[in-house]
Amino acid sequence: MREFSIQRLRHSLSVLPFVLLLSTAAYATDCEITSPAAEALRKVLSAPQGLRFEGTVLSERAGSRQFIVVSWPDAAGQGTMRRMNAAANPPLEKWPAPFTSAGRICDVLNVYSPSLGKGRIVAGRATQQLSLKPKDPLRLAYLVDLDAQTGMALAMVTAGSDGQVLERYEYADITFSEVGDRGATTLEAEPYSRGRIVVPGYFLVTEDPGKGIFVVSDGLATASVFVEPLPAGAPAGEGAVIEGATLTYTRGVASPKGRLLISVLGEVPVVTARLLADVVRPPRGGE
Amino acid sequence: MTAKDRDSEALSALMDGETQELELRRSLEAIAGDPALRERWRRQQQVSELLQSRRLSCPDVDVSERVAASLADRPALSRNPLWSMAVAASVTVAVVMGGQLVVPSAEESVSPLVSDIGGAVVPVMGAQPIQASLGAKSLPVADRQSQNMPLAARQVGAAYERLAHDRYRLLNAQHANQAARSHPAPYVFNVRQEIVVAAEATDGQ
Repeated sequence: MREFSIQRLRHSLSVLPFVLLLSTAAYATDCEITSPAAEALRKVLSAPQGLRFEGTVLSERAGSRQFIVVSWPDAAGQGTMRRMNAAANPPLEKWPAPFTSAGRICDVLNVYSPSLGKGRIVAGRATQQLSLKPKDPLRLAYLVDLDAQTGMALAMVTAGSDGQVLERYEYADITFSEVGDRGATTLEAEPYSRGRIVVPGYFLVTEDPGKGIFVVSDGLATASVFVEPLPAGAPAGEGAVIEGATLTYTRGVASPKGRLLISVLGEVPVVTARLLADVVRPPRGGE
Repeated sequence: MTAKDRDSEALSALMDGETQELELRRSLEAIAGDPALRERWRRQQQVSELLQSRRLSCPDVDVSERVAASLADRPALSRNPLWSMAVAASVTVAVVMGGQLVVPSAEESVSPLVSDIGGAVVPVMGAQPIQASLGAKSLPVADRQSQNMPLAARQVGAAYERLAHDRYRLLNAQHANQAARSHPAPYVFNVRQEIVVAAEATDGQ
């Protein structure tokens, strides 16, 4: 009986890592969207799928105020934009479709508390106001004015933990076309690679250990981590600057295991950048 | 008494901890702008350290130029393959410690309670409205929070801030490509890149 128990224990232990991996992956796509605020968030994250629009956007950050004309989608299923502040004949630029994975909202709900309030008129359209308050100090806060009819974000403010506005954008005008007017606009669900969690709420999206590049996300905010050798003679230290909502944090690490220069770029607070730098490990055997 | 004499006297007072705050600021500015004064400051620090601990922990403490020279113009990324990211250990402790480290200094917490966006205060989740700053700025990380920190530590911090700015310009496009798809308005990442181009054009003039 005792031997049987040990065998079962061994079996359980051998299975455990896989169970943990599965549970980590499973919770992200298994959440209930019951509140109106969560439903509003779902609409924001799924836009512009199923929509077709053209509009003018005011974007403010880092002392810059830009007017851009955006439209969605083009024939290739991408967005296009032109910068109106630029010189004559601004070039057409492309912007990618957002992730439309159904599991993404669960990741976001896991780390942000949504609440819904009365909206205002944005670009001549009625909106609802969605607040995304972080559940921990590891992320920024967002205030979204979403279109009452389509659910698309017509205005958005990104704020630091102290309520300081870091950047914002807002539509000055927007015209939605009927879906199907000029062909299908519904995208196939775009899966996003969801790797292991390295810092609470942040999971690896892509990694290239050979180049020392890692990208993490909490479903909404993203941070990129770049690792390089620290030049000889450079002392250990750290520094950070913020441009709009984008933080850049650098840390030089000098230890017997190696000399690293770690750069973290992302729409995250300093504390998160520090944690991300903390979890970088040098190659086995040092440099 | 010449200005140099006054600086030397102020430096001595600074070493003895007898400097008032305003005088401290002036002295530090003078040290930063005068290589001879900085050399004297370094020697006095070494002597002071020797007297206090009977050892020299770091004889060459004026590292700011060395850091800048070593780290500037380094476009190449890692030569060492197979870095990894581990799961954060003792996260709760780390968060608490980090939270304490990034508390803004008293000097920064006196921002006026107004916003310059759209002429109105921006309400954000019950937080107290403060000065809306859309400009680029440095952040107070541990080494630079206090004027009482050793000059060398603050110089290293300043060098790493400059490095962070350089890294932003170098790596932002790469980051933007990854981050855009998680944002409700992916095109804002295009806009962010233009700021970098504009900044580079300004620097080049």
